[in-house]
Amino acid sequence: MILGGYPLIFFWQMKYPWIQIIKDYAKGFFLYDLIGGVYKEKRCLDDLFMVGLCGKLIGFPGLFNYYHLRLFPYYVKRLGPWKRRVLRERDFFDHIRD
Amino acid sequence: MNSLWVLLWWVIIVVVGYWVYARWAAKRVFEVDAGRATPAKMYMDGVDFMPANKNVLFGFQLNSIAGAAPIIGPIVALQWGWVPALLWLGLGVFFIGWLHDYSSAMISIRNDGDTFGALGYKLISPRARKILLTFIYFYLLLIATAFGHIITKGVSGDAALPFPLLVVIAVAFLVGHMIYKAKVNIVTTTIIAIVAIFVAIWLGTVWNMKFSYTTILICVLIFGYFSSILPVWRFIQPYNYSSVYVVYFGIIAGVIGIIIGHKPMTLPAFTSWSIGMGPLWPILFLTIACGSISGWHSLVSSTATSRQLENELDIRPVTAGAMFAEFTIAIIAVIVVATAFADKAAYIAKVGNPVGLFVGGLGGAITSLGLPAAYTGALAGMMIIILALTVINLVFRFMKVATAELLGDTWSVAKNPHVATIVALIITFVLVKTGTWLYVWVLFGGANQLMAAFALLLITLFLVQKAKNYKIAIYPMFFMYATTVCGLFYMAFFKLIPAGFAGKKVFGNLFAAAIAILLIILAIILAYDGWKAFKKYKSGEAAEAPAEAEKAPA
Repeated sequence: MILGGYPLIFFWQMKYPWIQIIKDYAKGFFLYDLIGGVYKEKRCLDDLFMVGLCGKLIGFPGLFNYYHLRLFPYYVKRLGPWKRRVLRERDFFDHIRD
Repeated sequence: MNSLWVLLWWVIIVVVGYWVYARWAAKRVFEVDAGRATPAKMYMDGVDFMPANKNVLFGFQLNSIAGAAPIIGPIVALQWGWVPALLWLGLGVFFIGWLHDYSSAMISIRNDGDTFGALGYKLISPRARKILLTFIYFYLLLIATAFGHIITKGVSGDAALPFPLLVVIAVAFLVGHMIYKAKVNIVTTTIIAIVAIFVAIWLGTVWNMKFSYTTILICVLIFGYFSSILPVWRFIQPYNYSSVYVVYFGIIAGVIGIIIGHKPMTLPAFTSWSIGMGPLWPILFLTIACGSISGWHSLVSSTATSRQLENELDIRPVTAGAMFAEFTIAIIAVIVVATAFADKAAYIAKVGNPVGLFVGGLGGAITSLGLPAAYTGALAGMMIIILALTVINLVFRFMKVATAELLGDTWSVAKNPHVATIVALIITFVLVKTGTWLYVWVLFGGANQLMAAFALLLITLFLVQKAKNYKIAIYPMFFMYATTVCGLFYMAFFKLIPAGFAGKKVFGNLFAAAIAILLIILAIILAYDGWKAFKKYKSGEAAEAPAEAEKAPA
């Protein structure tokens, strides 16, 4: 149901904030693991892509120089966080959520 | 006494514990600061480190910590009477439980989101990480054995359960395929899954299936193998997602049933200071772990939740809030079982089969809603089986990783996931078949509580290092250490070894005794290292540089 261009649920949520609280709680209880799983899958692909793109910096052979140079400027800003995450020491306890 | 009076005890503990004691400790001891940057914000990577809303995280934390243990522990401990069980549940969560969960997240947040392995290495000693890992392997083995028996005994003893169990497993594969491969809408998928499971529970009461104990055990271990080997999205996640609705429905229906039925507590309030399982202290304190205090929670708080909290003020509602919610589940479990059985003899006859206990308890409570008794019994049985299988899902996966970490450097084949999983499955099979379940359950509780004692040791050292009021953690730590070590000692030397030498389940009892002794040795080594670290921090020798989280600008 639409009211003034917004679905009615938004008005309910503004009037009754507990609706949003219940929605958030249900999301955390039922869906958070699934959502995390999807993000993990995406991150695996991102990692593969970053290795292809930045692999030269750590000794991997560059397989596609042209695309590497075209794409590299867009990914430079991701290099720091990616390096920090990949190089972060992981032990058994890090796998509790895996 | 009417069961509704128990709810008054629950209200007092939750209100004073959460809104008074926890608020005071957060403000005065841990000095929470809303402006301090958390690891979720500093190291945001979109997956592990990711700021999330506190209500979402509360749901996630509760889902991660509340398994079958807060139900099974309290209903087994009713052998001492419901008053000791309720007292330990209430006082345990009030003085120790919430503090343990809260502080585990807090010390991880104040140390860049470090896990307990890294924190043990930094705060206690370099060998602490290895000790914790060895300890956890045997802790997981005890979990697998305890829950493996619960499922096997429950499913082989109730002909209404095998069929819905098969359907739940099939639905998990279907849901995984629909969500991740076929890209079916989540609402449609959820409706199909819920309808299929609830119909299967009803069909199970009509199409009875009977299997032997060994057959079911082998099936459970095959299930564990696939949980360990398959990608999480293929089976574990969809299983947890689709089956949790049954659990939720069971809990809500149970609460409504308790209120409508408001039956009197029929089991005795207090039986004896010492029963067949052992003396009230320390054995009751090990029998009830989750719901009061559980070491597992510290692992969840320090590895997952601490990396998602966007504000230090959120730690209390998320971690302490979830702990008090789990305490609520344990209270419900006590009420449903203490009001369900006509007398103590009827209860004791089923104490070796917690699924049977729960079918009688929760099934009876839900019957107050007007549902047929056969269906409510099967629903209650499936609820506990689903929770136990959720644990089994994860245990073999962790054991596989722990085997690779422990032995991988010296024995390269241990890194092979199939080998590591099969070794864990074989040991579990042997222990389930040859062990005494009630003793194994107490050992599992002991290992779980000992993990909590380790966490409290880390929390104490953190507070000493930061020159804060460490007494809030050191007394609970002493209590938990003394209780668990004495409990494990009692089980090993007064129960398991005498039973083994008397020719009763020789291998299983002696094997379990060896595990108990090993856990005691590990606890003593860690306590010695912890004492040295405590003296070092107390004398101010190791004034460590503040963690990045504390240096970061607000």
